[in-house]
Amino acid sequence: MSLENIKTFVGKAWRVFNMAAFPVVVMVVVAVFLNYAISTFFINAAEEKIKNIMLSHRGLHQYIQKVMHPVFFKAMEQGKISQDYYAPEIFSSSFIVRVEHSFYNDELKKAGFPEIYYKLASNNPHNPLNKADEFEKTLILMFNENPEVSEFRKVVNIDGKKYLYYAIPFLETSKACIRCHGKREDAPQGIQVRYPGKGGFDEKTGVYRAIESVRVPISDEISTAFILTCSFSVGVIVMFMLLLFNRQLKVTVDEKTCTLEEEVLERKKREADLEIKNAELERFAYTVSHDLKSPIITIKGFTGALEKDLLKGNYERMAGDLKRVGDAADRMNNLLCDLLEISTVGRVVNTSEVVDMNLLLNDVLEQLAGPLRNSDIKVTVQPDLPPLFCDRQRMCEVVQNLVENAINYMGGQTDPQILFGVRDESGVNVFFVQDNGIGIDKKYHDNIFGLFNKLDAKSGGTGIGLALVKRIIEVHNGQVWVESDGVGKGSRFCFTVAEN
Amino acid sequence: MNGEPLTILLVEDNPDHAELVMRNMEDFQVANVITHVEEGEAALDYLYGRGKYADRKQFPMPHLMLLDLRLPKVDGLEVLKEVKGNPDLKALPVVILTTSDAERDSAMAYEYHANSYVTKPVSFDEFSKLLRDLGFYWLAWNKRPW
Repeated sequence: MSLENIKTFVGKAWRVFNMAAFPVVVMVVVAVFLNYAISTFFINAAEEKIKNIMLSHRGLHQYIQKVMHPVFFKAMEQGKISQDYYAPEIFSSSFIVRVEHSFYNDELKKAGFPEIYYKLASNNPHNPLNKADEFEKTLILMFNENPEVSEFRKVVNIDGKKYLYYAIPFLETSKACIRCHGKREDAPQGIQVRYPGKGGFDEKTGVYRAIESVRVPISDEISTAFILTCSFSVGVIVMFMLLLFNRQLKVTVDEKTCTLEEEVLERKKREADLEIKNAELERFAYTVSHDLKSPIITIKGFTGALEKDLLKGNYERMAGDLKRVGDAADRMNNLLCDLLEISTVGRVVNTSEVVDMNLLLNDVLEQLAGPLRNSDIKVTVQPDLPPLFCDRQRMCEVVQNLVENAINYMGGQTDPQILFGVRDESGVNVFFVQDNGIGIDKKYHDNIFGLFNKLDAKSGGTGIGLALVKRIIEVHNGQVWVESDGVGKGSRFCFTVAEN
Repeated sequence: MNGEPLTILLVEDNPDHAELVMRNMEDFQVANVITHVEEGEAALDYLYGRGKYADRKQFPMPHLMLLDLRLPKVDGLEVLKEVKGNPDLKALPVVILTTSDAERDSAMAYEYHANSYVTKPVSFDEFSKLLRDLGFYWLAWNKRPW
């Protein structure tokens, strides 16, 4: 893996992290909230269960104290039951409820439900079984100090299991209670015998002497909440990752599609270019065969005519015919030279450089000084021409051919002028050679750049100049065109060169 | 032959080739008048009797046109298309006499209803024979449209 690849990978990972960071934070917050909500729901359900049990137990306490006790005491007063008779099994509400609860637990167990802890915890019980532990003691104190608090609940951990602990103060000690929980000597004889210690006596009215505390296991519920939250979170994370993955996939596919589309476009462009090149090549072959064959016909034709005249002794036109043959051979030679030249433009590429066009113009005009002087043409060069990045030698040929073209097609202009200048066209430097010569009809603006195309058969040159210019400019990835308002209005040959 | 002069319009941009054609035609005396123009535009001007060819007496309707294909400005095919598309001119026998033996050129020429397509022979003897045969065929054997 190259350094570049690693950089790309790290960049991608960072983007994904940035993309993922926010949703992950949101996800965690949602999960915590969800866990809390589900747990609370289960805890509330557990609490309701506890309250139900407590209320049911309280009902039993009430029944014992309000219904059974009066009957007992009345029976005692009437002597039906001995004054010193006491049996907690039929007399003590705390005993009865405790035992009743243990039966209830047995039933729960049989039915496959978890047991529920229940205790009537007191600081000062007759029966040590009901003695409050340290925690329950603090709760009793708390309820007595804060009469407005009616319940206490807490999730506690015992032996690695979670329980909902719930406590409410037991019934406030009333005068009826004092009968058994007052001074020892005032209590029924049976109680005094049964509970020989100090426990359970000397209570005062108006205080909470005990709490009812219940514990139900909620480990399963908490686990369920946790599993639900986890499932939900995992689901959301998987969905999110799928979305992310899908998005990433889409990006990748889009990129690939883009690349493919570009490739197709590129290929189409190359095919179109190739087609143009092929057409050009065909035209070139056609032109070459036509234009090279033409002088051969002339040479063969006139040598035949000469032969005939020679036989007849007709010498008059022989000199003229010989000249035609010679000229045709020369023309052929010129054509071949031109062909060689134009075919090298594409192949031999000199390195491009920043060319000072002012100096280049000086050189070209110096070379053309003779023909310009002969035709009495006034040449103006726009000062401070911008430099051009091109093949200097080829650019010389371009400018030279364009100026020569202007000289050749001056026509009968009495004040012949040529201007070399530059103009800016949306940031591109357009160089031009402008003349006030014969001008060119719009319909010929394209084919004048064709190989050996000449608008005037009698004009000088083989008709390669503009074709050569076009070829050189094409090699420079530039454009060349002519602007002319028509015959007699002069012409302006413009060209651009692609930057770099 | 009604005593009417037979006219050939030669459209040829190469002056040497034009000279060869005219010399051979004169040698065989197939036509009374050969008018030579170098450009396609001039040929059309002649046929339409425009500009300097307005005088029909001096420049009568030709009985045969020998047309080169590669001409400056308006090229031979365009001249042919114009002639064959014009109801007044389309009967004029047009023989394409060209250097090109490119298939595309002959196909296009026949597409535009050229009456005949011949390539200039390189051999001088063949060139002479071709022109003699052409002249005899189109001006003597062939029933002329006018």
